[in-house]
Amino acid sequence: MTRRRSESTRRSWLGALTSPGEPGTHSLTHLLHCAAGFEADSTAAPAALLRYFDVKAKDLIRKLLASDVSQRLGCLRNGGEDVKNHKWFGRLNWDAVYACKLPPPFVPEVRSADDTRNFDKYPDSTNKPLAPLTPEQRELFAEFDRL
Amino acid sequence: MGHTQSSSHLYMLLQYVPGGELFSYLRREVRISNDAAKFYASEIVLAFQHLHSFNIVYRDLKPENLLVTRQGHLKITDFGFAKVVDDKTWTLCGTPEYLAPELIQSKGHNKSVDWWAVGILIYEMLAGYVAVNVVVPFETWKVTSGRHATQISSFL
Repeated sequence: MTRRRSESTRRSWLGALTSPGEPGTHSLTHLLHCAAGFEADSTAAPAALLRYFDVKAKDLIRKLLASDVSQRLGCLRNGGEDVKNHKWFGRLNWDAVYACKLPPPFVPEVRSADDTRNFDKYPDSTNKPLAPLTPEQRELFAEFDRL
Repeated sequence: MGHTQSSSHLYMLLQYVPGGELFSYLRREVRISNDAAKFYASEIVLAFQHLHSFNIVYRDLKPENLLVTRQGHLKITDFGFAKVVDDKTWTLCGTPEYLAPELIQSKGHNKSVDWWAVGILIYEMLAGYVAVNVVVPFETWKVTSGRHATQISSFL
């Protein structure tokens, strides 16, 4: 199975601030523009596959993807407890989850403390020398070392 | 783990999590089993409950931001969009496939967007990927984009 390299460019982004009540049309246009790039790269999950989705998983996904927030699981009176109590998780021992006691689906191969084999290769950042900050600018970051 | 600064840079030292991104594992496996998806989803649910108990909204859930520990458990990384939100916040941010409708509509959002993203993540783990056209059917997208509702609408 080929790995779609371009997909790893799926980026987080921060849109322009929109004030409350003002429709974010500009941002939305931008969003859809971004989205178009992803769509070109996507291939549809075969309908046959979707039929084999676990019915309980499907039910949970449907409840989490409620476009009306007042209906969305996790956003109701019991908050995240409703998600934990969903039948997809069944009788999952949440204390064991919390304590990391459940067996993971896979254990990564790691040969040494500095083994980076599980990460993609990225070019080193170009260490262009930057002009030192002025004392006024540095003052803005004075708290940084004391956090 | 630590932080310092020079005359021109700020440095943050983070713990090294050697298992790589959950993203890489998912793309290698294409799809993962119901049990495996349940394992990862359960760890995220607990992490989100914890963050939300401090009114912190994370806002960028996706497999690229989930790192696998040496033992195979998850750690959430990249808190660049995380924010303490007592009521609502309005900045449009995140990753297109994972954006909740209220975020796209700039109606103001809060923790609700994280739970939406959990739904997308579970879908992505079980289906093998999630594309924007999977999210399209929800009214927001239908109205604003004029695209056709596809996969997930028939699926749901």
